[in-house]
Amino acid sequence: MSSDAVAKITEKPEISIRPATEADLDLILWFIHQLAIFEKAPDQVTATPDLLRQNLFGPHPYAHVLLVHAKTADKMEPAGFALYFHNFSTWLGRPGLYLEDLFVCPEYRNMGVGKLLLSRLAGIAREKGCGRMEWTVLDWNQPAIDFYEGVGARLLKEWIICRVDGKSLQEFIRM
Amino acid sequence: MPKISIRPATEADADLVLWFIQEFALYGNKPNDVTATSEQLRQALAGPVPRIHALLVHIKTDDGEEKPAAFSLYFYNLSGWTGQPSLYMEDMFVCSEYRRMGIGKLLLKQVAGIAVEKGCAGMGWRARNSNTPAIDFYKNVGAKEINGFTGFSLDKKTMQDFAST
Repeated sequence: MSSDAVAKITEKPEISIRPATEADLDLILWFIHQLAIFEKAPDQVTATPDLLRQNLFGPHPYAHVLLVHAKTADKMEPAGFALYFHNFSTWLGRPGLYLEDLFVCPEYRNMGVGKLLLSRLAGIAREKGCGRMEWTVLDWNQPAIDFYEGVGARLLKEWIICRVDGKSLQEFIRM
Repeated sequence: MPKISIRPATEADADLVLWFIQEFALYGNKPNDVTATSEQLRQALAGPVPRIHALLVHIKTDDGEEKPAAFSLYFYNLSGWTGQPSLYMEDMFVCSEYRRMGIGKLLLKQVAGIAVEKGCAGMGWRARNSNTPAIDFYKNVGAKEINGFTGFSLDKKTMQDFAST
Protein backbone atom coordinates (compact mmCIF):
# COMPACT_ATOMS: atom_id res chain seq x y z
CA MET A 1 0.00 0.00 0.00
CA SER A 2 1.25 3.52 -0.75
CA SER A 3 2.90 5.51 2.00
CA ASP A 4 2.52 9.27 2.60
CA ALA A 5 5.38 10.09 0.25
CA VAL A 6 3.98 9.36 -3.21
CA ALA A 7 6.39 7.05 -5.02
CA LYS A 8 7.24 8.14 -8.53
CA ILE A 9 6.35 5.38 -10.95
CA THR A 10 8.81 5.73 -13.81
CA GLU A 11 7.65 2.83 -15.95
CA LYS A 12 4.07 2.48 -17.25
CA PRO A 13 2.77 -0.57 -15.37
CA GLU A 14 0.61 -3.38 -16.71
CA ILE A 15 -2.91 -2.77 -15.45
CA SER A 16 -5.38 -5.50 -14.57
CA ILE A 17 -9.01 -5.02 -13.58
CA ARG A 18 -11.10 -7.71 -11.92
CA PRO A 19 -14.26 -8.02 -9.88
CA ALA A 20 -13.60 -8.04 -6.13
CA THR A 21 -14.27 -11.15 -4.06
CA GLU A 22 -14.86 -11.73 -0.36
CA ALA A 23 -11.11 -12.18 0.06
CA ASP A 24 -10.68 -8.49 -0.88
CA LEU A 25 -12.77 -7.03 1.97
CA ASP A 26 -9.86 -5.33 3.75
CA LEU A 27 -8.61 -3.84 0.48
CA ILE A 28 -12.10 -2.55 -0.41
CA LEU A 29 -12.40 -0.92 3.00
CA TRP A 30 -8.93 0.61 2.60
CA PHE A 31 -9.96 2.13 -0.76
CA ILE A 32 -13.19 3.49 0.76
CA HIS A 33 -11.06 5.18 3.44
CA GLN A 34 -8.65 6.57 0.82
CA LEU A 35 -11.53 8.10 -1.11
CA ALA A 36 -13.01 9.60 2.07
CA ILE A 37 -9.60 11.13 2.92
CA PHE A 38 -9.38 12.59 -0.59
CA GLU A 39 -12.92 14.00 -0.20
CA LYS A 40 -11.83 15.59 3.10
CA ALA A 41 -14.25 13.51 5.13
CA PRO A 42 -12.16 10.76 6.74
CA ASP A 43 -14.41 10.50 9.83
CA GLN A 44 -17.48 9.69 7.77
CA VAL A 45 -16.48 6.08 7.14
CA THR A 46 -18.24 3.71 9.52
CA ALA A 47 -18.25 0.66 7.22
CA THR A 48 -16.78 -2.55 8.64
CA PRO A 49 -15.55 -5.70 6.88
CA ASP A 50 -18.61 -7.56 8.22
CA LEU A 51 -21.08 -5.03 6.81
CA LEU A 52 -19.30 -5.06 3.46
CA ARG A 53 -19.24 -8.87 3.44
CA GLN A 54 -22.99 -9.00 4.11
CA ASN A 55 -23.95 -6.29 1.63
CA LEU A 56 -21.47 -6.91 -1.19
CA PHE A 57 -21.13 -10.68 -1.08
CA GLY A 58 -24.29 -11.88 0.64
CA PRO A 59 -27.25 -13.60 -1.09
CA HIS A 60 -28.49 -10.25 -2.48
CA PRO A 61 -25.54 -7.92 -3.12
CA TYR A 62 -26.46 -4.24 -3.02
CA ALA A 63 -23.38 -3.19 -4.98
CA HIS A 64 -20.34 -4.53 -6.84
CA VAL A 65 -16.66 -3.63 -6.78
CA LEU A 66 -13.97 -3.64 -9.46
CA LEU A 67 -10.34 -3.64 -8.33
CA VAL A 68 -7.42 -2.31 -10.33
CA HIS A 69 -3.92 -3.66 -9.81
CA ALA A 70 -0.69 -2.47 -11.38
CA LYS A 71 2.02 -4.97 -12.19
CA THR A 72 5.47 -3.43 -11.84
CA ALA A 73 8.51 -5.70 -12.00
CA ASP A 74 7.40 -8.65 -9.88
CA LYS A 75 4.71 -7.02 -7.70
CA MET A 76 0.95 -6.52 -8.05
CA GLU A 77 0.06 -3.27 -6.32
CA PRO A 78 -3.50 -2.03 -5.67
CA ALA A 79 -3.99 0.97 -7.97
CA GLY A 80 -7.68 1.83 -7.88
CA PHE A 81 -11.25 0.70 -7.40
CA ALA A 82 -14.81 1.37 -8.42
CA LEU A 83 -17.93 0.61 -6.42
CA TYR A 84 -21.13 0.59 -8.44
CA PHE A 85 -24.71 -0.64 -8.41
CA HIS A 86 -27.69 -0.74 -10.68
CA ASN A 87 -30.46 1.78 -10.43
CA PHE A 88 -33.55 2.01 -12.62
CA SER A 89 -34.74 4.68 -15.00
CA THR A 90 -38.51 4.77 -14.97
CA TRP A 91 -38.51 6.93 -18.08
CA LEU A 92 -36.37 4.49 -20.07
CA GLY A 93 -37.83 1.40 -18.39
CA ARG A 94 -34.29 0.07 -18.08
CA PRO A 95 -31.69 -0.42 -15.39
CA GLY A 96 -28.84 2.08 -15.22
CA LEU A 97 -25.35 1.79 -13.77
CA TYR A 98 -24.63 4.17 -10.91
CA LEU A 99 -21.00 4.71 -10.06
CA GLU A 100 -20.91 5.36 -6.33
CA ASP A 101 -17.13 5.46 -5.80
CA LEU A 102 -14.18 5.72 -8.15
CA PHE A 103 -10.64 6.19 -6.88
CA VAL A 104 -7.20 5.90 -8.42
CA CYS A 105 -4.15 5.95 -6.12
CA PRO A 106 -2.12 9.16 -6.61
CA GLU A 107 0.97 7.34 -7.89
CA TYR A 108 -1.08 5.76 -10.70
CA ARG A 109 -2.90 8.87 -11.89
CA ASN A 110 -2.47 10.34 -15.36
CA MET A 111 -1.70 6.90 -16.78
CA GLY A 112 -5.13 6.14 -18.24
CA VAL A 113 -6.24 4.02 -15.28
CA GLY A 114 -9.39 6.06 -14.69
CA LYS A 115 -10.34 5.86 -18.36
CA LEU A 116 -9.75 2.10 -18.41
CA LEU A 117 -11.92 1.65 -15.33
CA LEU A 118 -14.70 3.80 -16.75
CA SER A 119 -14.53 1.92 -20.02
CA ARG A 120 -14.80 -1.41 -18.19
CA LEU A 121 -17.82 -0.10 -16.30
CA ALA A 122 -19.41 1.11 -19.53
CA GLY A 123 -18.90 -2.42 -20.88
CA ILE A 124 -20.66 -3.91 -17.86
CA ALA A 125 -23.48 -1.42 -18.27
CA ARG A 126 -23.86 -2.35 -21.93
CA GLU A 127 -23.81 -6.09 -21.13
CA LYS A 128 -26.57 -5.62 -18.53
CA GLY A 129 -28.78 -3.67 -20.95
CA CYS A 130 -28.40 -0.42 -19.05
CA GLY A 131 -29.82 2.76 -20.49
CA ARG A 132 -27.21 5.05 -18.93
CA MET A 133 -24.41 5.48 -16.43
CA GLU A 134 -24.51 8.16 -13.74
CA TRP A 135 -22.41 9.47 -10.89
CA THR A 136 -21.72 12.64 -8.95
CA VAL A 137 -18.51 14.54 -8.38
CA LEU A 138 -17.53 17.06 -5.75
CA ASP A 139 -17.73 20.42 -7.42
CA TRP A 140 -14.22 21.41 -6.28
CA ASN A 141 -12.74 18.28 -7.92
CA GLN A 142 -11.80 20.03 -11.15
CA PRO A 143 -9.40 17.31 -12.44
CA ALA A 144 -12.23 14.77 -12.18
CA ILE A 145 -14.75 17.16 -13.82
CA ASP A 146 -12.31 17.79 -16.69
CA PHE A 147 -11.70 14.06 -17.08
CA TYR A 148 -15.41 13.20 -17.19
CA GLU A 149 -16.24 15.99 -19.62
CA GLY A 150 -13.31 14.82 -21.73
CA VAL A 151 -14.81 11.33 -22.11
CA GLY A 152 -18.16 12.72 -23.23
CA ALA A 153 -20.14 12.69 -19.99
CA ARG A 154 -22.89 15.27 -19.67
CA LEU A 155 -22.97 17.56 -16.67
CA LEU A 156 -26.45 17.52 -15.10
CA LYS A 157 -26.96 21.07 -13.94
CA GLU A 158 -30.68 20.93 -13.42
CA TRP A 159 -30.85 18.64 -10.37
CA ILE A 160 -30.37 19.06 -6.67
CA ILE A 161 -29.57 16.09 -4.46
CA CYS A 162 -31.63 15.48 -1.33
CA ARG A 163 -30.80 13.22 1.54
CA VAL A 164 -31.96 12.13 4.98
CA ASP A 165 -29.43 10.12 7.00
CA GLY A 166 -29.06 8.16 10.19
CA LYS A 167 -30.78 9.76 13.16
CA SER A 168 -32.61 12.25 10.91
CA LEU A 169 -34.19 9.27 9.12
CA GLN A 170 -35.72 8.09 12.40
CA GLU A 171 -37.02 11.59 13.08
CA PHE A 172 -38.36 11.82 9.55
CA ILE A 173 -40.78 9.00 10.30
CA ARG A 174 -42.13 10.94 13.26
CA MET A 175 -42.62 14.24 11.41
CA MET B 1 -57.46 14.26 4.57
CA PRO B 2 -59.77 12.07 2.50
CA LYS B 3 -59.90 8.29 3.07
CA ILE B 4 -56.75 6.94 1.52
CA SER B 5 -55.09 3.56 1.16
CA ILE B 6 -51.38 2.94 0.62
CA ARG B 7 -50.14 -0.39 -0.61
CA PRO B 8 -47.04 -1.85 -2.26
CA ALA B 9 -47.28 -2.29 -6.03
CA THR B 10 -47.06 -5.78 -7.52
CA GLU B 11 -46.26 -6.75 -11.10
CA ALA B 12 -50.02 -6.68 -11.75
CA ASP B 13 -49.87 -2.89 -11.22
CA ALA B 14 -47.41 -2.28 -14.08
CA ASP B 15 -49.97 -0.35 -16.16
CA LEU B 16 -50.83 1.93 -13.24
CA VAL B 17 -47.17 2.52 -12.40
CA LEU B 18 -46.53 3.46 -16.04
CA TRP B 19 -49.50 5.84 -15.91
CA PHE B 20 -48.06 7.58 -12.84
CA ILE B 21 -44.63 7.85 -14.52
CA GLN B 22 -46.28 9.44 -17.55
CA GLU B 23 -48.29 11.85 -15.38
CA PHE B 24 -45.08 12.82 -13.60
CA ALA B 25 -43.33 13.48 -16.91
CA LEU B 26 -46.30 15.56 -18.06
CA TYR B 27 -46.05 17.62 -14.86
CA GLY B 28 -42.39 18.27 -15.70
CA ASN B 29 -43.35 19.22 -19.30
CA LYS B 30 -41.46 16.23 -20.69
CA PRO B 31 -44.25 13.88 -21.80
CA ASN B 32 -42.32 12.54 -24.78
CA ASP B 33 -39.30 11.50 -22.72
CA VAL B 34 -41.00 8.40 -21.34
CA THR B 35 -40.23 5.40 -23.52
CA ALA B 36 -40.71 2.79 -20.78
CA THR B 37 -43.27 0.06 -21.46
CA SER B 38 -45.65 -1.70 -19.13
CA GLU B 39 -43.83 -4.99 -19.77
CA GLN B 40 -40.47 -3.50 -18.75
CA LEU B 41 -42.01 -2.25 -15.52
CA ARG B 42 -43.74 -5.57 -14.90
CA GLN B 43 -40.41 -7.37 -15.16
CA ALA B 44 -38.74 -4.84 -12.88
CA LEU B 45 -41.48 -5.26 -10.25
CA ALA B 46 -41.50 -9.05 -10.48
CA GLY B 47 -39.56 -11.80 -8.80
CA PRO B 48 -38.16 -12.51 -5.33
CA VAL B 49 -35.69 -9.59 -5.57
CA PRO B 50 -37.44 -6.95 -7.69
CA ARG B 51 -35.34 -4.20 -9.27
CA ILE B 52 -37.89 -1.62 -8.22
CA HIS B 53 -40.48 -1.21 -5.50
CA ALA B 54 -43.41 1.18 -5.48
CA LEU B 55 -46.05 2.39 -3.06
CA LEU B 56 -49.44 3.27 -4.52
CA VAL B 57 -51.86 5.71 -2.90
CA HIS B 58 -55.56 5.56 -3.71
CA ILE B 59 -58.35 7.87 -2.59
CA LYS B 60 -61.63 6.27 -1.60
CA THR B 61 -64.48 8.41 -2.94
CA ASP B 62 -67.88 8.73 -1.27
CA ASP B 63 -69.38 6.20 -3.63
CA GLY B 64 -66.74 3.63 -2.73
CA GLU B 65 -64.58 4.07 -5.84
CA GLU B 66 -60.78 3.95 -5.56
CA LYS B 67 -58.94 6.63 -7.53
CA PRO B 68 -55.15 6.61 -7.99
CA ALA B 69 -53.75 9.64 -6.19
CA ALA B 70 -50.00 9.28 -5.72
CA PHE B 71 -47.04 6.98 -5.98
CA SER B 72 -43.45 6.59 -4.92
CA LEU B 73 -40.96 4.34 -6.70
CA TYR B 74 -37.71 3.35 -5.03
CA PHE B 75 -34.92 0.79 -4.87
CA TYR B 76 -31.96 -0.08 -2.70
CA ASN B 77 -28.29 0.54 -3.23
CA LEU B 78 -25.20 0.71 -1.04
CA SER B 79 -23.64 3.56 0.88
CA GLY B 80 -19.91 2.87 0.55
CA TRP B 81 -19.00 4.95 3.59
CA THR B 82 -21.35 3.10 5.94
CA GLY B 83 -21.30 -0.31 4.23
CA GLN B 84 -25.07 -0.39 4.76
CA PRO B 85 -27.87 -0.38 2.22
CA SER B 86 -29.43 2.95 1.31
CA LEU B 87 -32.88 3.63 -0.16
CA TYR B 88 -33.07 5.72 -3.31
CA MET B 89 -36.40 7.22 -4.23
CA GLU B 90 -36.45 7.52 -8.02
CA ASP B 91 -39.93 9.02 -8.36
CA MET B 92 -42.52 10.57 -6.13
CA PHE B 93 -45.67 12.17 -7.51
CA VAL B 94 -49.03 13.32 -6.18
CA CYS B 95 -51.76 13.99 -8.76
CA SER B 96 -52.58 17.69 -8.93
CA GLU B 97 -56.16 17.30 -7.69
CA TYR B 98 -54.95 15.63 -4.48
CA ARG B 99 -52.16 18.00 -3.50
CA ARG B 100 -52.09 20.02 -0.28
CA MET B 101 -53.93 17.27 1.60
CA GLY B 102 -50.94 15.81 3.42
CA ILE B 103 -50.60 12.87 1.05
CA GLY B 104 -47.03 13.67 0.03
CA LYS B 105 -45.89 13.85 3.64
CA LEU B 106 -47.63 10.58 4.49
CA LEU B 107 -46.08 8.84 1.50
CA LEU B 108 -42.59 10.11 2.32
CA LYS B 109 -42.99 8.95 5.92
CA GLN B 110 -44.01 5.49 4.69
CA VAL B 111 -40.95 5.26 2.46
CA ALA B 112 -38.74 6.45 5.31
CA GLY B 113 -40.30 3.78 7.54
CA ILE B 114 -39.44 1.14 4.95
CA ALA B 115 -35.87 2.43 4.80
CA VAL B 116 -35.51 2.13 8.57
CA GLU B 117 -37.09 -1.34 8.64
CA LYS B 118 -34.65 -2.48 5.99
CA GLY B 119 -31.66 -1.25 8.02
CA CYS B 120 -30.78 1.53 5.57
CA ALA B 121 -28.19 4.15 6.49
CA GLY B 122 -30.30 6.79 4.82
CA MET B 123 -32.52 7.67 1.92
CA GLY B 124 -31.80 9.88 -1.04
CA TRP B 125 -33.51 11.35 -4.04
CA ARG B 126 -33.17 14.35 -6.30
CA ALA B 127 -35.38 17.15 -7.52
CA ARG B 128 -35.14 19.43 -10.51
CA ASN B 129 -33.89 22.77 -9.28
CA SER B 130 -36.80 24.42 -11.13
CA ASN B 131 -39.32 22.38 -9.11
CA THR B 132 -39.80 24.94 -6.34
CA PRO B 133 -42.96 23.40 -4.82
CA ALA B 134 -41.17 20.05 -4.41
CA ILE B 135 -38.02 21.64 -3.00
CA ASP B 136 -40.04 23.69 -0.51
CA PHE B 137 -41.95 20.57 0.51
CA TYR B 138 -38.76 18.53 1.06
CA LYS B 139 -37.12 21.33 3.05
CA ASN B 140 -40.23 21.75 5.19
CA VAL B 141 -40.18 18.11 6.15
CA GLY B 142 -36.54 18.31 7.15
CA ALA B 143 -34.68 16.83 4.20
CA LYS B 144 -31.21 18.20 3.54
CA GLU B 145 -30.06 19.54 0.21
CA ILE B 146 -26.61 18.14 -0.51
CA ASN B 147 -24.51 20.98 -1.86
CA GLY B 148 -21.15 20.64 -3.41
CA PHE B 149 -21.87 17.83 -5.86
CA THR B 150 -22.34 17.89 -9.60
CA GLY B 151 -24.16 15.08 -11.37
CA PHE B 152 -22.83 13.42 -14.52
CA SER B 153 -24.46 11.11 -16.98
CA LEU B 154 -23.35 9.03 -19.95
CA ASP B 155 -26.27 8.26 -22.23
CA LYS B 156 -26.58 4.87 -23.90
CA LYS B 157 -24.85 5.74 -27.17
CA THR B 158 -21.90 7.55 -25.52
CA MET B 159 -21.62 4.70 -23.03
CA GLN B 160 -21.58 2.06 -25.77
CA ASP B 161 -19.02 4.02 -27.79
CA PHE B 162 -16.90 4.41 -24.70
CA ALA B 163 -17.10 0.72 -23.88
CA SER B 164 -15.69 -0.02 -27.30
CA THR B 165 -12.60 2.21 -26.83
